[in-house]
Amino acid sequence: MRRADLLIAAVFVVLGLVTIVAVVPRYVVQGGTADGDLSPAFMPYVATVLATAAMLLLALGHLRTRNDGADAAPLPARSGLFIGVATAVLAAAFVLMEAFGYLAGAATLVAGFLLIVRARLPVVLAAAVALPLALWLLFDKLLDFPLP
Amino acid sequence: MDVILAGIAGALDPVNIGFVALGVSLGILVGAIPGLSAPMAIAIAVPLTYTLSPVSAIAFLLGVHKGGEYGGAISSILINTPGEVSSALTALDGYPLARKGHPRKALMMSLYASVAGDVFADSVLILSAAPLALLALRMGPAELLGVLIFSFAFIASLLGGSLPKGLFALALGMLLATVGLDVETGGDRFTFGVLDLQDGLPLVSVAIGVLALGEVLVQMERYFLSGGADTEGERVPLRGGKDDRLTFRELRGCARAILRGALIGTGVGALPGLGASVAAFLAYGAERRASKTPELFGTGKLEGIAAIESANNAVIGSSLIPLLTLGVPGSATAALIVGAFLIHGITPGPFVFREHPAVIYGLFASLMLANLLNLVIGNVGLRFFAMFLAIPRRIIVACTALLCVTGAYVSAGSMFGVGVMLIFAVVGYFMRKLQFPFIVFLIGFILGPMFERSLRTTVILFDDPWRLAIGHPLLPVLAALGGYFAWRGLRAKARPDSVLARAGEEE
Repeated sequence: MRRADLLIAAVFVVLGLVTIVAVVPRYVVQGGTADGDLSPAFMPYVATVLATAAMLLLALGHLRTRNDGADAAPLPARSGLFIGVATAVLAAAFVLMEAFGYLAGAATLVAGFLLIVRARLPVVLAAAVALPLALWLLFDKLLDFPLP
Repeated sequence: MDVILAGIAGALDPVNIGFVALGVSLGILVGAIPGLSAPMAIAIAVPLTYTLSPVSAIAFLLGVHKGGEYGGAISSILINTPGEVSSALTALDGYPLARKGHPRKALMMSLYASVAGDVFADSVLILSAAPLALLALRMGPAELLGVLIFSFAFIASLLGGSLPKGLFALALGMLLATVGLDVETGGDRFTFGVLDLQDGLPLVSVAIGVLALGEVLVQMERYFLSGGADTEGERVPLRGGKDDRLTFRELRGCARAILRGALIGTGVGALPGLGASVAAFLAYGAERRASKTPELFGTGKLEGIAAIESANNAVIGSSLIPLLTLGVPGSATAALIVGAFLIHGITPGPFVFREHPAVIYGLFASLMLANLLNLVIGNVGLRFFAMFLAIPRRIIVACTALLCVTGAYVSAGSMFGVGVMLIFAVVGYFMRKLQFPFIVFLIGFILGPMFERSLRTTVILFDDPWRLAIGHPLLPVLAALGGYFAWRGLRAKARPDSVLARAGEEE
């Protein structure tokens, strides 16, 4: 975890500094309503400074201790593959749901996720049809919550 | 008195009883299925409560929570796989007892202890909430600011095992809570010209993403990496031997363990940030130390099951104490309950007793009703709930993703809510993998606006810091206490596997 923590800390310290110097001044309105009121930018500054300081503390804590060599990677390559595939399925389901409606997106999501966990094909097909249909009937027809 | 009677009458309305029963049943079912948890179920169920009355909505969600804590014991005892993090220790004695031919005895002890813990904590809540709220009403923005600073430092330093990571999660939550229009000036903050962002990031979508779909992704990854293999223990059939009934003598013998567990659970639940698993671990340790035969713990001892289950259920009622008296949710579940209150136009806090007394007393009555229904449904439906253990976990986990998407859409009423939920699901996944306490993130996200309001009001009211410190000593005292916890957290070594770090994984 040491290596990963150092990497994350470095990334977030840089991101924090960019937010303080460039993002907050540009995308947050400055100046309060009355005398003595804090600026709307105050809280974003406080939170960003706190987050950046926390990441500096994390990095310093690790740099002060010796590396004992037993530093397993928290995100092995296969985890990267998994989250890549899962994110692609989520994105595809989102796009299909927006373009063609709830049933298309929902069926894609269920089928994609069941294939990821290595479910058998008949189970994948049955669930991809039955579950979206059941939820669509429940929300759209029975409870009168219009689904996309 | 009329208000109390009106509240009780509202709770005993057949529709309300039906929703509480549905919540308890759903909770037991979800709790019994490893991989699903009560906070997950509550996150997904919040959008379903839009059309209910405030009492029914919140009672339904609390029913899910109460049922879920008991349901977690079913899979712990029958398949040695906890349905909830807080039920992990139940398997230590529950599963061996079930393997000895006493599964029903273990399950009944777990049910009775759960309900007893619930009743105890709910009674404490009912008796203490109104007087504490009266005290809280004397607090101004400065005192509330002190309470929030203390809560933040306490939660960030205790949960997750690493103070820098806790602080980062808290700050990130607070930063993201500022997205949208500033309530004082109406100016944009991080909206980037996107109209949907002007109302801020939707709480329910963020909660479903981080709590539910983030967990689904982590669990799915295990199956992906293991080639789809399920890892439950050998399943014990529910039909036990002839002596598988829990006798009154055995129940009476566990009375001390139940009471000890209930006391520990109530105390832990009233503190912000600690959850059911911390209470369960503390209660199990205390029971072992108090026992004349500590060596028998882990071999199927009823007292072990009783203490744990009583403690983890007692947390539910007492976690509402800081919520109803100060408006501070001490856990993710309590934070979701805040969401449900807000949906119905009620802001939890000391004013709620004055502004919505019938709702609060109706809620109290519904809590007791939920305990009764938990006892009945847990008893009668045991065989039915145990049947769901046969469904492969990976199928349930994968299908839960669709419930998350549907819940986010119903809650936000647009695909924007779904998009936010999906983004925060990936954030939740990485937070779990990199051991950042996502519960602290959620608490920062929910309490951030309250903190900012208190801070801005305090700054406007008191331009002289000395006058503020002398006139409102609670603020510096609580801030100093918070600083002490932060200092202790900084000195402590990172303990990712500690009880408190694991507590950050639930509740």
